Amino acid sequence: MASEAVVIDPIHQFEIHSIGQHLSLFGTDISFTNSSLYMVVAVAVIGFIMIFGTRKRALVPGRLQSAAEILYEFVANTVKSTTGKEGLKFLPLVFSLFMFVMVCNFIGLVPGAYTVTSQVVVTFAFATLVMSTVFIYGVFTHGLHFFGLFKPSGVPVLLLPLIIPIEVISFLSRPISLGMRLFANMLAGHIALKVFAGFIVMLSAAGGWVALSPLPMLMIVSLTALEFLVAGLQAFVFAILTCIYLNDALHPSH
Amino acid sequence: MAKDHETEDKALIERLGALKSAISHEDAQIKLRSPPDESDHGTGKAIGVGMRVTTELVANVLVGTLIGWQIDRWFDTSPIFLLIFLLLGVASGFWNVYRIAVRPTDTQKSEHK
Repeated sequence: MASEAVVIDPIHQFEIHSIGQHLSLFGTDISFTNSSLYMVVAVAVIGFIMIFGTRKRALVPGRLQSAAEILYEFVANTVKSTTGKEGLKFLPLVFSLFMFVMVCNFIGLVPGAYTVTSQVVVTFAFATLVMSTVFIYGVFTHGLHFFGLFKPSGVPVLLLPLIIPIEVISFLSRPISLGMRLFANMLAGHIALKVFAGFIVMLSAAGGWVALSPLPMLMIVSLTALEFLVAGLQAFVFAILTCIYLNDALHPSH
Repeated sequence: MAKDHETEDKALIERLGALKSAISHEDAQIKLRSPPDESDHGTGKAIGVGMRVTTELVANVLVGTLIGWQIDRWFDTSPIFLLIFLLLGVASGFWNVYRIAVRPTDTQKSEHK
């Protein structure tokens, strides 16, 4: 019964509440929330790394400068290897997305911090941005030829009524899977951490069972390591998939 | 005087050629010593492909179902289009997974070499 006194709510960490007063514009709530605060923090961290890292431009880079250079070269290589030379004009987009997602994921790992990317709205907004870029750029540069994406070459005419809806569905599912993957990974990881932390509280409230509490503690330590991997990896996957989709806009016939 | 210049130019050109070949030789050496690009994030790529496959399946079924559901609402034909597009969604999910899978991975590529 003692364990019921402790309220363990693993979802509570994802709650959004406004900081300061409520603001509304045309009936839409636009108040500054904890989520927006952490977005600002993420942008400040990125700005710090990139501006101070590249300011000195030393021939032998210091710690911050080499961090900035490694990040830039990594993304530039990814873009170049998946989309070719002409894809480099999308480098600013891919780099911004990669940095923002990665920094938000890592900030979310700080105990007590808010994970921006665990909100489905945020990740879907990124995915929609990517897919509308692909669609608009594709239609703009290739015209109707872009819709050849939905009709793979070498398919018999008889199969086309089946293949075209399938291709359309798979195109439409790209933003969903892109946004869902990031959001689900961050959400699941943070809930798992909270649940195991809750076990420790419950065990210590249950008398002699407190002897078992190092077990969930060990689990938390290993989960945190895993979350570090996931945080970096999800940003990388997001960036590389953005490149793959942009590749379709650049070279629509596959 | 003119002859002096000529011999000087010739010597300079010769020296330039020698330096150029030395530089290209050095470059080749450096290229040999440095590891090939992207060999180190093979594992990351593999995990990325795995994550793609799982969400691809779910997302395609979801989108197919939603399209079918919406068409049914427009034309009041429930549940014909829901069923058709659900099946199409499943098909496109597997089709996408197949497309990811048939592409040779990095390790396979290097084995073939």
